[in-house]
Amino acid sequence: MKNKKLKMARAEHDLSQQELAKTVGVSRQTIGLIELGKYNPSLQLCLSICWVLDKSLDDLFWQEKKDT
Amino acid sequence: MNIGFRRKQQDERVTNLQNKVYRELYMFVTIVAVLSLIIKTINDDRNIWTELIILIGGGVYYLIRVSSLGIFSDEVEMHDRSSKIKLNKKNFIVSLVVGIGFSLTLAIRNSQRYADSAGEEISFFLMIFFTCMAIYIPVMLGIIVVPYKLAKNKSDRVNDAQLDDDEDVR
Repeated sequence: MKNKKLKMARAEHDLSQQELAKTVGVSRQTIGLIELGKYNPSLQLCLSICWVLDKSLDDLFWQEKKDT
Repeated sequence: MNIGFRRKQQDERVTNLQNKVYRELYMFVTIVAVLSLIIKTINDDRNIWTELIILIGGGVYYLIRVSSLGIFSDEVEMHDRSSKIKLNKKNFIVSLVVGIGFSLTLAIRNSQRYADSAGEEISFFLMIFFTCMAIYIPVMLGIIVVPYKLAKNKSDRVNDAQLDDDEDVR
């Protein structure tokens, strides 16, 4: 599932994927894949992204529980 | 009812630590192969194919896998971000240095071994040195720079395919 919240928060701060990636110490591809929902970041990386974008984990990464 | 094979649940901490152990294991095997290669070369043992296959095969396999997974571009990006010299340029310099170093070693060794006089030694040295440079610099470029370029192109294509539905990079 795409992470639109992350993409919006990044846009709010006028940061490119490259700039965010550089700040949190990962490659641009990693940020791209997180936004596309194709990669699950570690908790530490989630926290780093949240600190840079001034958001909480809930704001950026919380998902409602799916009924199985 | 859920029919079919259930994926075995894995603990990511255990998986990460296992990967760390595999990495150490690979380093250990590489060190043993290099030591064996050095000892055999000193003892003039020509049976070094096993060591060469381990060393070259391991490197080639790694390069193919990281480029097909697309992470080679990421490695280059992370390297270029933290290093003053870009990896591309670094590979070029390493090729030149290794090519010149190898040519120099062969020129010194062979001119001392086969020349009968000081004048002959100098002419042998110059001849062997420039001939070896003409051979080994392109060979080293072929070994180091060309695979790098191929792997980078392949990795970039895989990356583009992975991010193809990401219309907005900014």
